[in-house]
Amino acid sequence: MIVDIVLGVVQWVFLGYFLLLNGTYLALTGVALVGLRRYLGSGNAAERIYSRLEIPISLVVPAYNEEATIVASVRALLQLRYQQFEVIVVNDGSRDGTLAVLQKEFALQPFPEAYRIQVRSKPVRGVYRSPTYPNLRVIDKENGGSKADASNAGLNAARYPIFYCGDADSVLDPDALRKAVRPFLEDPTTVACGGTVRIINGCRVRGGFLERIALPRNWLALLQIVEYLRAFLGGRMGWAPINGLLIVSGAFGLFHRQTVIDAGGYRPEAIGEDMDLVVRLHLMMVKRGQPYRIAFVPDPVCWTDAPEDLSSLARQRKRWQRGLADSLWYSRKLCFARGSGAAGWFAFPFFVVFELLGPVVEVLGYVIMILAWAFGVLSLDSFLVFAAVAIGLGVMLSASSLLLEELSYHVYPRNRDVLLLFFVAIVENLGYRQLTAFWRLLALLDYLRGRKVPWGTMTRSTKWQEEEK
Amino acid sequence: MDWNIGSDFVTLLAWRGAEISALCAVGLMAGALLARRLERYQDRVKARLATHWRPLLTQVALGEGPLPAVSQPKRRHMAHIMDEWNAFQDALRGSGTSRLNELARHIGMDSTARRLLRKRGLGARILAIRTLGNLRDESSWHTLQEQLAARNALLSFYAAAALIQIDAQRAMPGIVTQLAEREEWPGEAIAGLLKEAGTQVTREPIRALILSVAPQKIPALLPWLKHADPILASEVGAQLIRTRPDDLRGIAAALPLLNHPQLVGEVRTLAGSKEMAVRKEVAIALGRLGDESDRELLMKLMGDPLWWVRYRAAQSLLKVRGSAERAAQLRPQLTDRYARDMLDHVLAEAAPQ
Repeated sequence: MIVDIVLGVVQWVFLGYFLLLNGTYLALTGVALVGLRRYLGSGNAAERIYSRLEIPISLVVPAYNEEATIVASVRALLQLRYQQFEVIVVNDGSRDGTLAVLQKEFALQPFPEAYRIQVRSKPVRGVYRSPTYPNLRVIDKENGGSKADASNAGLNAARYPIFYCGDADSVLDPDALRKAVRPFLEDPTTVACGGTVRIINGCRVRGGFLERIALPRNWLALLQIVEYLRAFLGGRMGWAPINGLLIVSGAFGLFHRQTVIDAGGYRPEAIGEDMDLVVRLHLMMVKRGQPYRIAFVPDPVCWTDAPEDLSSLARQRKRWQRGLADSLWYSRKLCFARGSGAAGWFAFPFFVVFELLGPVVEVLGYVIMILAWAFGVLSLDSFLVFAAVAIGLGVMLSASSLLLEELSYHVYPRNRDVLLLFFVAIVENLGYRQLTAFWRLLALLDYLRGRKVPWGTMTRSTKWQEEEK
Repeated sequence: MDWNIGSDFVTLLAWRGAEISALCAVGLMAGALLARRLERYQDRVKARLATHWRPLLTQVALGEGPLPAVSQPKRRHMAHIMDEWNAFQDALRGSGTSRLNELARHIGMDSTARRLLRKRGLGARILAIRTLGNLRDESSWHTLQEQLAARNALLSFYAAAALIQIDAQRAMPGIVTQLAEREEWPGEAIAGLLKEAGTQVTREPIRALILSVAPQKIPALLPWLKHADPILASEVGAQLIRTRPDDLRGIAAALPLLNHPQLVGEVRTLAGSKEMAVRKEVAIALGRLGDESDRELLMKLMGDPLWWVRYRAAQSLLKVRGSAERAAQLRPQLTDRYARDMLDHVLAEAAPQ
């Protein structure tokens, strides 16, 4: 009798949790759909008037042991379609020949820069500039052990009101800056803007730019494409219109420089420096009582490499989860803070309950259901029904993101690509989702135990670069 | 399989949830494929319309005499045709545009545009505003004025452009009022609009507003006055500096307007301002209006706590000294380390590469 009651309560809790989680995501997808239609509806008109307007942008590119790819990355950045920008490469004490290849390729010369220390970073050893590319500078600094530290050095050297921070190995759309700067032009209270990041595996890159878009053959990468569509088009595009965006991807983000400096720059100790900065920006602006906006453009502005092996993927997901826990804990005062709007009253609690604690509930749910079934407390029928609702809701959510993609950018050209992605949206619920939930749970336990976990080596697929040769 | 679910309400609920979500997923997927087909169909329609209408619009714009016979387009095609028509209008000047307008009214584009303006979609409303502006449609004046005050910057910008096209003189007071309010309006595009309206039309409303508006609104208006009439702007700027010594934000906005060396005395007195923006503008203005006698003041500003003040002062020092070599001779006199660093920085920037 007691077992039945407990099981009944557990069933209600898990069902309610799943329905609430997926219901919220569906509501966000609805908001995203409205925002997307609005954004696309004004696209041509906005481009027509804003393309002539320039807010100069400083592109900060932290580089650590990027000898193999840094030259191509910098060349691609220098070719971006934007009238006024500077590229600041920060060599974060690389142990390979990153600085040497830059010096050789761009004929760098030492430059007596009056370097301003506005946010903390490890000491700068030298500043170089290129005679052939006047808008390129290279900051050589001592290794700070984090992207945040290198980004801060770049931030100190940046001269323009907006700065971009991204990864050296990401590929940007040639019009990425024009697209992402639009929220700063439309609304002067904008302090940050993120953009949609897509997966580059399977695509072909030439001269640092995307030449052909295609789906990868690797299943892990395919699964991540559906995840990214869900996260960016469904999630972030849904949070942004209500100013509840708590993450701007580290692969692509534009920020109002002075506001970031006022917030103390990136926090070098942060595990996920990208989310940490955005949550702190929210908190600072709420404390100041100033109107502000953290925006998002749905355009596919940045393409990044997804891990294709399980161990790299596990490390990445664990790092993201620890970063999430760390950022939320550090800026916990944002939660239900007076005047914090959707960010503090909706997004922050949502992230705590569903993103941070989600893996706990999910894994616990699977374990309890399996045990209850194994001990004969739960019938096979009921067990399968609960599995079906979890899978069904997951597939529905992914399918809604695929619809958003088709209503907006439909970057994958063939009909069979869409069908394959739909199939992947089903398959991801049969093992992959459970596996990532398990990794995230482990990461959460690591964080709670205060265990320091090194970054480890990420094995990157370079097929898209190799095809260039 | 014999599903034993009827006895358990939670399980039944879960089952219904699974059924609904599966159906929704299939529906969404079908929607995605349908959206793709629809998009392709619309692309084909657009291409077909462009093939038909571009030569026709060219013929109308460049031709003379009566308009060629044009059949009434289908209502659902009108937005695409309006797009093409507006592109032609934007590219043309002179009599061609009048003939295009004649054609547009003939096929009912004016009434379609007025109807589109009442829709909720932003894209449709902007298309309507552009069309009504190009048509010089006076009957839409009040509706366009309402759009000028719209919260959305794009709507208000396009409404301003349309009103200027219809009657620049009449439109300007309302547009100038918006200039003081709207920081988000794109500067360069606005400059283009004001240029189209003409200096004669723009300068008086801006000057009148500057003299009557609340002090905090003045800085937003000053650059537009400079754009319309640089000489008048210089006079107004000097007057503001003299009469409003406590309005530091206004002074910082007024300093870039000064364009006569006789006004350098006003500039020098502001070098010790507690406001960083003022000191930075002083440093720039001294480079523009000052002379060799300002080198001591500039060297002092090169020791300012703020980087931009030091940077601009060093750049101005190079200007007043006439050459980098002459500026470099002053290096031993700089006792402040930051000032020396900044001089080195600016000299390196100015060095031939």
